[in-house]
Amino acid sequence: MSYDRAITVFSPDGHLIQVEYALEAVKKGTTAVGVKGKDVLVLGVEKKSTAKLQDPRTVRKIVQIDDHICMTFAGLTADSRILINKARFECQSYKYYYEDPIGVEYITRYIAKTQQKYTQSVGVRPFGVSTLIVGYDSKGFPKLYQTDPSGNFSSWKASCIGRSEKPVKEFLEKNYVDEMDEEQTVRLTIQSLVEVVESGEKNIDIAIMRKNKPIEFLGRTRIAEIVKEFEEEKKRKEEED
Amino acid sequence: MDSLVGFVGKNYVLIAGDTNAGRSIMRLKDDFDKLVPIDSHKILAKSGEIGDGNQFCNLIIRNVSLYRIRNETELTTKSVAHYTRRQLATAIRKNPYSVNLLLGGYDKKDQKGSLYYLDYLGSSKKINYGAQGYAALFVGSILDRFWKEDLDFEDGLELMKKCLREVEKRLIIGTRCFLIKMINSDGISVVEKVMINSKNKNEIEEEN
Repeated sequence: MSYDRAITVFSPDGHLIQVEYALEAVKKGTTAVGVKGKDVLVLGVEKKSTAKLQDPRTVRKIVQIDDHICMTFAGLTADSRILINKARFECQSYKYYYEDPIGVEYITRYIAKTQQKYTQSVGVRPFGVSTLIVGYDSKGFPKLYQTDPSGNFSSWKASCIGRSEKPVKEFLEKNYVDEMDEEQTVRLTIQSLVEVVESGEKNIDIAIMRKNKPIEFLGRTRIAEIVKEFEEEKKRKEEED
Repeated sequence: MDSLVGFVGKNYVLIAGDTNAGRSIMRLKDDFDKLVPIDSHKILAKSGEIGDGNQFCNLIIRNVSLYRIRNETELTTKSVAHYTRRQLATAIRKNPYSVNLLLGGYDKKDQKGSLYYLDYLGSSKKINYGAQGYAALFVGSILDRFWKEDLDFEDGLELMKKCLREVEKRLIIGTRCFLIKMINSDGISVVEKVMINSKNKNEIEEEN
């Protein structure tokens, strides 16, 4: 009997095969990185290279869920749209009932709950999406959360999802330090992506989330500047060796 | 008992509302803000049942926000008016909201202010000047006579105070305190909180 037909069926060794297949779909998606600094959150994404005739502005991977919460994802874009829509609705719904802006953990829990529901329902498949959610909690601390198709979620100092997850995570583990300021956080994010993104800085999007401020997308020129600085530093190091 | 007055001026909209909240013969609150901001450049001035007003305005605000987050753009005043009217119209034969509204907004695209009159039955009309509540009985003729297109701010404020003076003078149910707000390209701002005492030969004391 094939244990990957319906997701409601456990395999004999205790796996939900469909959920694991969903994780494989995520591993095929373009990379997304999130890094938490002392009082700043930075999201970086690898953009899929757009066709010549395609308008690149319509391919947006970093989205706002509410005024104070942003998220990005890796995996099936169409699936992510559903999650994003539900999350946006939930944020407004929360504010409707409680008059307070929603908490980052609350919305993460909601997204994760939604993803889990689809692993335990009839006639549906799991979302082929992992998400990175950033925002500031009620005490004002920056928070980065990750969810995956199984419905798990956890808080991270820095995380990566998508196709270059392994090398980028290794890079982050080696180079992450606590309490980085904005400049260092941005540089670390860009650096981690540049290593793995094939086509260079033109296909990187960086977004900065500061406390009580709207999200800011870093301009092309600024990203190019920082990448250039890395390359020069690399050259210098090689020359020294 | 609620009085709302509004009109459109040169690149702004002025809306004033009394600050009374009451139930039958009792005044519950005398600093009640009836001019609710929907987003950065729109005000929904509510009158009627207090609970219905709160619920309904909350509903509109949340849905306008949801639109903004989803589509990364703000709705125009006209769109919000139509949406609000639709909500009132579908509710009237099921679970009516007892609210009458003045919707004032400034659209950056047209660089113009606009004012809409909406009532609980689901009527909606774009107006240059108007009022809700008992104030409408007194203020209509004053605005008919003195409102002109493209009034600048000082003249507009003078006209508004003229209207509010008349409301205070003639409305038997005492409502002396009014909150005046303005919407222009910079957004919503509180112009004044006025306390009117018409016995003092049309003198107006200003609060704040």
